[in-house]
Amino acid sequence: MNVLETFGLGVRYGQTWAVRDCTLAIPEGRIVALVGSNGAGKTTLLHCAVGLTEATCGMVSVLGDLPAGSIDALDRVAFVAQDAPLYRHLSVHEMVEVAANLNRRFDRPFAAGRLRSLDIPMKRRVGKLSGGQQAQLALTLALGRHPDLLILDEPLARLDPVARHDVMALVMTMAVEDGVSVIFSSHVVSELERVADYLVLMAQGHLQLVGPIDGVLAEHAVLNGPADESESVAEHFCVVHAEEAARRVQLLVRHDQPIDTPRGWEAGAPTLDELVLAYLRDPSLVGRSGPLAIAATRAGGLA
Amino acid sequence: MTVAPTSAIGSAVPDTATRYARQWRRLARVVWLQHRGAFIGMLVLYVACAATILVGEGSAQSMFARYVADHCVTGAIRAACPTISNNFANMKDPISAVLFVLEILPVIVGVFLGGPLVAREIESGTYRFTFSQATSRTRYLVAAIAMLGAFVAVGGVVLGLLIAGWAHPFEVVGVGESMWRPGNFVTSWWLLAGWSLLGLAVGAFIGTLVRRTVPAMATTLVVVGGLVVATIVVGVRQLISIAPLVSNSIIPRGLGVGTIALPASRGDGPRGAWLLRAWMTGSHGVVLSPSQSSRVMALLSVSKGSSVGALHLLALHHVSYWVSYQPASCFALFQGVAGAFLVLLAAIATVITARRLRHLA
Amino acid sequence: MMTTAHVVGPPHLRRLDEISARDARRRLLRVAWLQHRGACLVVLAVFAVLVIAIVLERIRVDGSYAAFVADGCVGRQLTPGTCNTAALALGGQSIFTTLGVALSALPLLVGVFVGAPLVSREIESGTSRFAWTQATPRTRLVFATLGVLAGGAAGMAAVVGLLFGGWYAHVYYVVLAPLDSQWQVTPFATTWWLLSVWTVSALVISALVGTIIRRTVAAMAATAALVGGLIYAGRVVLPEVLHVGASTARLHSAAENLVVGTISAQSQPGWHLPPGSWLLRSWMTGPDGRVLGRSASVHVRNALSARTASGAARWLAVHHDAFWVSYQPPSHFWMLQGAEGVALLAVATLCVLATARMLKRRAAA
Repeated sequence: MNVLETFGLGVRYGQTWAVRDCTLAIPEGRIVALVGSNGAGKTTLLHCAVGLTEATCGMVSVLGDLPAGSIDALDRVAFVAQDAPLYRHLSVHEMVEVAANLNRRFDRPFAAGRLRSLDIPMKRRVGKLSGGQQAQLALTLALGRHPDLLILDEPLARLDPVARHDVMALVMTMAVEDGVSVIFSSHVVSELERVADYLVLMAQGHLQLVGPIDGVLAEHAVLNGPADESESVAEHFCVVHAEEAARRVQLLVRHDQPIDTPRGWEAGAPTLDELVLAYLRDPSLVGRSGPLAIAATRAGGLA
Repeated sequence: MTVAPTSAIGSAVPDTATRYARQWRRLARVVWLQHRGAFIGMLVLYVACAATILVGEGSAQSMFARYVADHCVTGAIRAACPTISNNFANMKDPISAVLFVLEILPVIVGVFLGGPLVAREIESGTYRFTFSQATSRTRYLVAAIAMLGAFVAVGGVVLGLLIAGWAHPFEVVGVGESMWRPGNFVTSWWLLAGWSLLGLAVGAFIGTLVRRTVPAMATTLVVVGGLVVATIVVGVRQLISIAPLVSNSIIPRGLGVGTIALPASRGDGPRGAWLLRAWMTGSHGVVLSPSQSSRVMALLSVSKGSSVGALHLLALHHVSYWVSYQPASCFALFQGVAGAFLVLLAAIATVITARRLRHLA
Repeated sequence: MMTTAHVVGPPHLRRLDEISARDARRRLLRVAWLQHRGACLVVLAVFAVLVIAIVLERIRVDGSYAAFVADGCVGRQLTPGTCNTAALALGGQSIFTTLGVALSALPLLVGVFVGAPLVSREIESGTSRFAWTQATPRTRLVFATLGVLAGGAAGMAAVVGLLFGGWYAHVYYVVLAPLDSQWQVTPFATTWWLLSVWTVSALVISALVGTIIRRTVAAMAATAALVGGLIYAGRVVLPEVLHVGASTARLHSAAENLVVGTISAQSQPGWHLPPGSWLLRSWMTGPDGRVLGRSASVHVRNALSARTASGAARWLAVHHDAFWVSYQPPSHFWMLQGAEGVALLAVATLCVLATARMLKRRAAA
């Protein structure tokens, strides 16, 4: 089953396309890192997945064939929006009550226990909590629903390093033990690398790179060699990014088959950080971006 | 030799006055960008009110011209005069609606401009941006209130002048639109401007207290609305009762004793005066009781409105009919005092708001 | 279609498909209360102030009213004496008018401060991203809230309308007849029925405005203009609407107190009209049955005013002139109330449908 499936998804605000030609199929049981520069369309894609935004064209479904935003879908999908919007005039206890009353299932003891362990007073008004505490509260309300799919829009932004670590650990535990699929967007790539096993990379409303992280990394290599040979070597490879320094050049290349390292050159595996940065620097690059795009890229693209 | 200081980019630093002017121009631009919706909304309201008054004024002026042409102003009894008077009395809609809007204009300004001025910044959190810029909070507030205040003051002045122009024929015809009437008193050009400023300042102050937009607006409605109602119902009457003139040569034609609170109509006192109270005195100047006064009034009703007959009857019974009133010449004085008081209150409210902003956590 | 229930884990995690409808409603009510308790309490406070003001005022005028009735003044023309004293005591007070204005403004205030922020504040503050991603349809959530607020406000408005029109203002209708009447613009609009319908309609219209505009203060201002304009238009249109289905009658006597043209007063005893009829317009006809012009009417009016009631009737008979009035009998009062109420509810229903449609389609971002 695919937890999130889109086909030709497009969302337009006025004259601007926030998301365009987005086709992807994310299998269940994954921890998906949704990465992209500002304005790439990450939030729009996530909003489409939970029915907050209506697609201009295309389709989007979750958890198999459930229409995104339908009550059956929302029953099993939990979403934490950017900036963790909550009712500032309610107390924490009342906020939990609102969440419990708006959902068919909600684990109040779990939510109360988690908030207690985080030292968040139940009687304090939400508006009086710190930014990090508000983020933790919003996450708790989502986790209390025990969803099959958890969608987090930049959940780490307001958290301190320890809190980030704990949240990521919790996400991993949920994925492993409860089989929850997680999609979260973030700019902190280094932390994503520790927990995520699936990558969706967006730029300017389009998908750039989609796939299991191991597989995506395996399809790329870093070649180090003399700068004066870079052009001749580049003719034989699909170069994603080139970086020159002190008469040496580092090429990030994409390959479908095992590469033949040129003489005098060194080959290595890129880190996720290097890979993401390289693609983000050039929004026109498109790697594997969904089932249909595979054929397109093979026909006239990078391969 | 002193060298003119240069800025980092090499050009001469402008003098203090120019720099000052530039800062305020920039602030004005910021205020416009933040509140242009409010400016435009209020402008639409002002234009709608002005258009209604001007349309109504056209009809009133043409009817007034007929009234004058028929010599009704001089008191000639002509068949057409009562009909024209009746038509004037029926002419007030939709101006009545505009009059009502002018009476509650301070409330509208306070609720929709003043209340959200600070409260919305605080509730939405944008104050964390605005108040962390290199512009003092006080200067920011003063710029906002000055710009909004000038706008609503000018709007109030224009509407006040227009409504006074519309009301003048009614006052002359005598169908009750006296400038002394509390509802008209507070909607003169001067007081309308003062009230608008006060509504704005009080709303802003309440916003710093309540810190949530809708509750601040509701609280402003209650406070400013209460002030307006209290002023119209009680305040104006109390104000214009101060140091009245007294006369015993006004004919008690249909006036009675006790509180009058009516404009002096033709022959019932000095032109444009506001009659406050009436009482009767008997011989030796003793004030007559209500029952005694009622008996005298019953006798006077027999005279059927003849001023000579009424005076004769009063003299016959050694009764004097006294009326306290405010002459038309005092109107501007009362307006000036009331308006100055409103502007002072608005300034105090602004100062308090600025102090609260400075300590805003 | 909902999937069948299945047990997953501990009892508190069980899908509550078998949750009763009553329990679901209770949960939504609880959410609506938590979100809008401030507004509810303020509306309740306003309601309490109005009720207290009406009760106190009624108690205050009760003495004058009791004396008026005890002196047999009901239905008599006011002459100097006890009857006139009571009338002056009531007529000289301004709070009756003030209360009437306050009641007329009640729907506007409810619309501006309760209805307009209902959706617009959710969207502007971003909390819609929380509320509308829970397993409760956004339309159900919004309309549950709207239903609770509308029910409460309508109930309060009905109570206040009953107290004002049926109990307090009744004194004025009796003492100050024929001028004060439930047919006048303000009393007509503030009966228990129309006040509650206006309140509900204002709430619904303003919720739609908030859904369209999506910014709180702007939505409130637009609501003030729109609902205020509708209330004003209702007041302006009412005198014209009252002519619909009006009856006509020829008065044979006691016509000396009536002007020719628009009347807007209640009928008096002796005019052989149903008691409590509301006179709309009068005109005169000549011997040939044609309506007399203005100057001819003035001439006849002046001739009648110099005569007694029987003398006026004789004069009319001799000159073959007739004095006609159009009027609404008291039996039409609730029909017209019902018609206005139904029209308002139709508008409110359209607004509900439009709001539902917009909520389903609107992007919350």
